[in-house]
Amino acid sequence: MVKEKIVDIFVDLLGVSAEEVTENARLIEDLAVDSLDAVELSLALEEQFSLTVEDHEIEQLQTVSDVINLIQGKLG
Amino acid sequence: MKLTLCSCGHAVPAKCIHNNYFTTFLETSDQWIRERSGIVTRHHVEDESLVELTIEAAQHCLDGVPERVREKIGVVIVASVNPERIVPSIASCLQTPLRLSEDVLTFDMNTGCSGLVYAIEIAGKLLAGMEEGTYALTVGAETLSRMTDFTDRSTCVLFGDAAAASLWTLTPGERDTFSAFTRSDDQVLFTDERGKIHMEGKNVFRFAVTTVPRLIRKTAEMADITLSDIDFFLTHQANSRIIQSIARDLKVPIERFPMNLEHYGNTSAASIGLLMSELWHSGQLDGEKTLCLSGFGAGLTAGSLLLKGHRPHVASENI
Repeated sequence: MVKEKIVDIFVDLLGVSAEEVTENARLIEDLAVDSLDAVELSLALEEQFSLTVEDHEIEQLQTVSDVINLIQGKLG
Repeated sequence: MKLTLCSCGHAVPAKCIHNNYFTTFLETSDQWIRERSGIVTRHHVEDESLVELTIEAAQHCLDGVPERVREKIGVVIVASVNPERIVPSIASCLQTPLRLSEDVLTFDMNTGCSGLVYAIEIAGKLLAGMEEGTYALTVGAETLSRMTDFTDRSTCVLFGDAAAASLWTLTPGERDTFSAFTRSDDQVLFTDERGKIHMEGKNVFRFAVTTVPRLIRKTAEMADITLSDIDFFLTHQANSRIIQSIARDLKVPIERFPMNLEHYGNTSAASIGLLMSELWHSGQLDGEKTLCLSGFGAGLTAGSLLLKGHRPHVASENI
């Protein structure tokens, strides 16, 4: 469920297809996420999952899988 | 009574600077600037003064109205973050060259990039206490190039110089709705000890994309209309990515968020007036239009002003 919601966020934010948002997809190289996208991504994650994502946490993420793991970890 | 737009005008300096100019002395590229800001060119002053630019914009605005209307202008407000002199105010410098009455109330104000929206709201409140048929002239005027740190590649590519004027009066109709926001913060967007602009871009982005949609929804609720009833969202032209994010949050088609920052960059308090003037002179503000003006910037401040069912007013109707 978490994964599906995160894929939806990427699709909505970046205008990519759900098929492109694989767990192994690299944020910068494959999905062209830049610094402003990262801010929007953290805001969208915060709103969707009712939690707080710090800038330094987002900056360390490299793949979609990293995003999923971060959120699952915060949700316990 | 509601605020009604009667005319618009603008002025930009002659010198136009393309993104490629910055690649001659900074590690940046045209593509990087376009992708992160949407900006391609901006205008910078050379010998022009801010007062001269302001007069030119105001003259352009008043060119379209009968001469007698000038005598009925009771309020002039200039929003600017960088007047060349503390006194006299820029607004007071307009009285003689624009042939305005000596009864006119003039002052400058600084609310960062929210300035023009605040000026228009204040103008409406002042007009409500004046004789019917009185007009207000609001101007956003900036020479940000004089406050720009050209060694800071993250900010120096963003700013441009411009002045934009709009003429308003009150006509029968539902009152406008306005929402303001202020949160004291002198670390995100401020001028340093040299008077140069320092901006934490990501934090400004975060502030704008969370605050502006909330204010727009609030003003629409106060006016008892839905977002689909709003024809144009005239948002401070800071960055196309911010505007796209606001549109996405509101689930409003981006086509209803006109933009001209590609040509002018971020002109602070002048930007919404510049956009409004271009729409006015291209005939796109004709007919019944509901407008939502939203500014955001240093303070941190933001403001949204909703002009419901806005029908441009022919200034001569009132005289």
